[in-house]
Amino acid sequence: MKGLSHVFTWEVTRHLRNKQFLIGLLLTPLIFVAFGAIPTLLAYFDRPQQYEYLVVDELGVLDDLRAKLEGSRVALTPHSMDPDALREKVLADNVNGYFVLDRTFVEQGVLPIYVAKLQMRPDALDNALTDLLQEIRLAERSLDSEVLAYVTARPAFIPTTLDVKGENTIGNLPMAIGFSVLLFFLILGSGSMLFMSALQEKRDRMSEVVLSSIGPDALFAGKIAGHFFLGIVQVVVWLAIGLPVAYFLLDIPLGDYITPSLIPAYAVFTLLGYLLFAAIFVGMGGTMDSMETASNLQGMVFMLPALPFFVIGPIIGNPDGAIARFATLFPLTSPVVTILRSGFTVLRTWEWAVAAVLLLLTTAVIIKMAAKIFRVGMLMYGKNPDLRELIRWLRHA
Amino acid sequence: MSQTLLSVEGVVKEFGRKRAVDSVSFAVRRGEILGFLGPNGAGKTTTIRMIMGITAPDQGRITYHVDGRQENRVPKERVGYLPEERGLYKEARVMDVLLFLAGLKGMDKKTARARSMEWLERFGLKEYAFAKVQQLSKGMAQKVQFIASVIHDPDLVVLDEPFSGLDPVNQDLFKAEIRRLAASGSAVLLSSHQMNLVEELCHSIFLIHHGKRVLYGSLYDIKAEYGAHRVRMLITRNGWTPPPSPLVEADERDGAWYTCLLRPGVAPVDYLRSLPDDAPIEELSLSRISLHDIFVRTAQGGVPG
Repeated sequence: MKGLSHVFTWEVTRHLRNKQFLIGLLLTPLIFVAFGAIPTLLAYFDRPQQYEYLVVDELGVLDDLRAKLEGSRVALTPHSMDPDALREKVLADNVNGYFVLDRTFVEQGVLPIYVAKLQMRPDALDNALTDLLQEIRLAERSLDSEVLAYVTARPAFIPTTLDVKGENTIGNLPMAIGFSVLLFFLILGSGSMLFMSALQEKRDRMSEVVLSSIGPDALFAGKIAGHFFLGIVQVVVWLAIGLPVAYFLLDIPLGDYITPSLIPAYAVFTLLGYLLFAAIFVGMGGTMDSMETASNLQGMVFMLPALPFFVIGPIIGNPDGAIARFATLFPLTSPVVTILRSGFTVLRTWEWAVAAVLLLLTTAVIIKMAAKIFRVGMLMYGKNPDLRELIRWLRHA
Repeated sequence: MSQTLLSVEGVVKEFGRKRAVDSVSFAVRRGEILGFLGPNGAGKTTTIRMIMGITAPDQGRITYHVDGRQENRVPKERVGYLPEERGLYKEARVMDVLLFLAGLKGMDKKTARARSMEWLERFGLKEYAFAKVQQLSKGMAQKVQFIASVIHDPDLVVLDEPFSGLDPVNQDLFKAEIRRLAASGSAVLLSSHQMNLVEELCHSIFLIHHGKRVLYGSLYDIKAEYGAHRVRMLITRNGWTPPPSPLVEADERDGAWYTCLLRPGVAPVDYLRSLPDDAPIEELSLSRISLHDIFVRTAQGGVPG
């Protein structure tokens, strides 16, 4: 296609010289790092909340209970049985509450905790009191302390996934999430740049001059290829900043998270997903004179890449459910969802294959349609086409 | 005149049921400036876009005679185009835009850079070579657009409203460059609504209306065929008016000035001979009906002449 390489070079060089692009390129990963660091910083500066309860210990078990709460943020202070004084201290907001450990607690398993106002109670306190109650009751049945410890020991749940060979792996969830997030940003970032680029061609009244030198398909393809390259540049820069931060500062074992066998499949879905949305964005950008006059139809196009967000909940809830399977095969959600889903479940070969074929066919059809719309749209000035008009363009172009 | 460079034969373009261009035929030769005229919506831009290969005709043939060969596909590297809807990438630098557009025409970067500087210097824009387009005035930007359309020395140049928005000084500059292009052997297709400039520049005229040819031929022939003579006199004696004459189609008195339009084909000298020997005429001027009048009559649906 004559002229494609010129358009490609033009799109790449003028963006790489553009201050806004360069600032965005470097600022985005910094914003991500900042967002990642803010909670840690806040936690560093913000002392976690401490709880203090007054305890009327009629059972003589306060020391046991305190031992169970060691290292937690709960402090227990003994107090005599003086309801008025206790009430006064709780209402004065000096302590979080008070409770009485007596036979009622042991026999009925009921423990009123008196507080000034309803509030979150630390899990550690609940767990310690539960353990204490079990121990007292079992001891009263004359059980050996070793048996007691054995019976009351809480199980440890360690999720451990297996790869195809049956070996113990950490799973490819982090890689799936990482890839799908990168693809999402690639589509959104490059897509909006492409949209603006096509729109600019018309806004700056350049389309007719350019189209007198090269065919519309070369302009269309050159823009898509150029912005794909720019998108890859963005991703590479982001990774170049993000990976060392993750590896060295956050101590994330990146090597454990990479499943090389999945990379080709992810690359295919990334490429097709990009091409699909790029074609839609360029085609639509070519129909518009300015952002201010965008119609509802054109505005809706910007929503399309966000569709996977609507199904993330159901996919995490049930990665093999009907919604997750549909979103894997539906071409507008398939690129991000297929990659993401492969982190939560083992996708069958046929699912990979059908999703890829459907995406490939849809991408081919959309590119053809978008190129037709682009061809007509680039020469139309002063009005935004409605759906009927777009269909007419598709028929006659 | 020399060889034909572009021939348009029986070209038709339809949009839905509307026939925007209907069996249009004309040719442009090397060194010729053809005025391509017509009211708004007459089919000019559609025809030009077909010539530039931006859209394809539904019927008919467009042939380009380049390097001794006949081509039915537009040789895009050999044509230059200044469209009516034109602009420049606002955020880019002047030199970058020129290099990009020259590159699309197949020019190598080194030649394109040297040629761009030559043209910018000729148009007094050398110091703006590396300025951003958005820093240019409208007239400056128009000069850059003109440069972009001719930087590659095209064989065929299509200029759609090149003078719109230009001040008289820059109009003269553009006129000189257009004449120079034709003198160097390019064929020029010039579309403009500024009839005085068209009259000054063009060797021939093609007038299109409702998608159809209305007039086509050399400027002289058209004016000779359709443009009757106009006689304008300053009469010194109050109350005296030339006697009614069968040679006159219409006349008008405005103070001391008397103007009459002769019937088509009437030689002015015959009319002057028909006047009395003692006619009190102080000043006398003779002109053809202007292209402007021919255009206006055509646009209003009348028969030119």
